[in-house]
Amino acid sequence: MKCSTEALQTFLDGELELAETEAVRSHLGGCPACRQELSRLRLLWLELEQEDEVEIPAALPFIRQQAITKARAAGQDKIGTSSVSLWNAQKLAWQPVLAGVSRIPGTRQLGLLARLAGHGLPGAIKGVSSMAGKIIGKRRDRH
Amino acid sequence: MNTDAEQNLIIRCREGDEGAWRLLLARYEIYVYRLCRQIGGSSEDAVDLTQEALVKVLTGLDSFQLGRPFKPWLRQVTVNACLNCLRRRAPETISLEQPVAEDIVLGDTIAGNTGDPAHAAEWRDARDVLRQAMSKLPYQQRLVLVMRHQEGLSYEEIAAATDLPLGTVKTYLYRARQQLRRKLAGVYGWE
Ligand SMILES: [Zn+2]
Repeated sequence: MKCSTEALQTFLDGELELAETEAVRSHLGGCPACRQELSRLRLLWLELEQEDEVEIPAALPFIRQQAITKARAAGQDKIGTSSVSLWNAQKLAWQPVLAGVSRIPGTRQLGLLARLAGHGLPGAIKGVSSMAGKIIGKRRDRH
Repeated sequence: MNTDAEQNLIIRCREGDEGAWRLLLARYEIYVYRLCRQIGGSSEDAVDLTQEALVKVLTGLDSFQLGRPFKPWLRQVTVNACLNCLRRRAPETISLEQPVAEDIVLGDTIAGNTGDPAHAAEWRDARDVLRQAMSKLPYQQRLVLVMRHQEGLSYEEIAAATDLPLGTVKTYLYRARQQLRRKLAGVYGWE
């Protein structure tokens, strides 16, 4: 076989047929350039397989709550809204958001949310965080 | 959680039990967020993608086949939600003239960096360079990379999870890794 980085990639992925694997092995035996390339690709593979440190946002419980609200609204659409009065629908839509607010343990997370809100949080969460901002404001006034 | 308990939880979710919804999402939202973060390429996008994905999980549970492992289904729903969101956006296809980072232009990197690679290595380690490069890839390429190297899926499994043809999966993987390999070459000063 000829030198082929594509074959080397597939080889490293363990996705070659048995015969192809043998062909690559024997080629590697006689080709220092491909051996070097393989060791470089191995390095890349190691980097790619590292568990990426992803910072989990403190807003995740809010996102969960919003998802539940949306999912329930979608379910109601499916059933048909005729049996649900407008007020009930609004109440349903707001309850989980408010429940989410009351469950926030501290102002640190609120501050983080407020900061996150500037970066493309969905509209409803922005609403919550601006409310949260007001709550913090009041507390500060009192002290 | 054992499989039985999980299946019971899913049954309760299907009945519209909101407590069960909350439990299910609390269990899996970090996994979904990580996936969205990796596929989306930025933490700004990840929040929107995660919410979209979690809604699809709750509204799509009827399509989950009880008795099967939940995670592959969850992965697929998340991937679909991400693809739908990312597709709707204006295409951010990368041109050779588009600045990749600060004053580096992709054309330079491909043609063999004009600057001193050893210098680049001094102020940025390989991990950062790769992460940056990954966030600049077309989202479909980033998607297959994540499926392969983080989720550990085979080519066939990636094709199934992403609804891409097998040949496309291979091509995207190859292109993405060639691009990243060039970045590594810059860091380590390979010729
Ligand atoms: Zn060779």
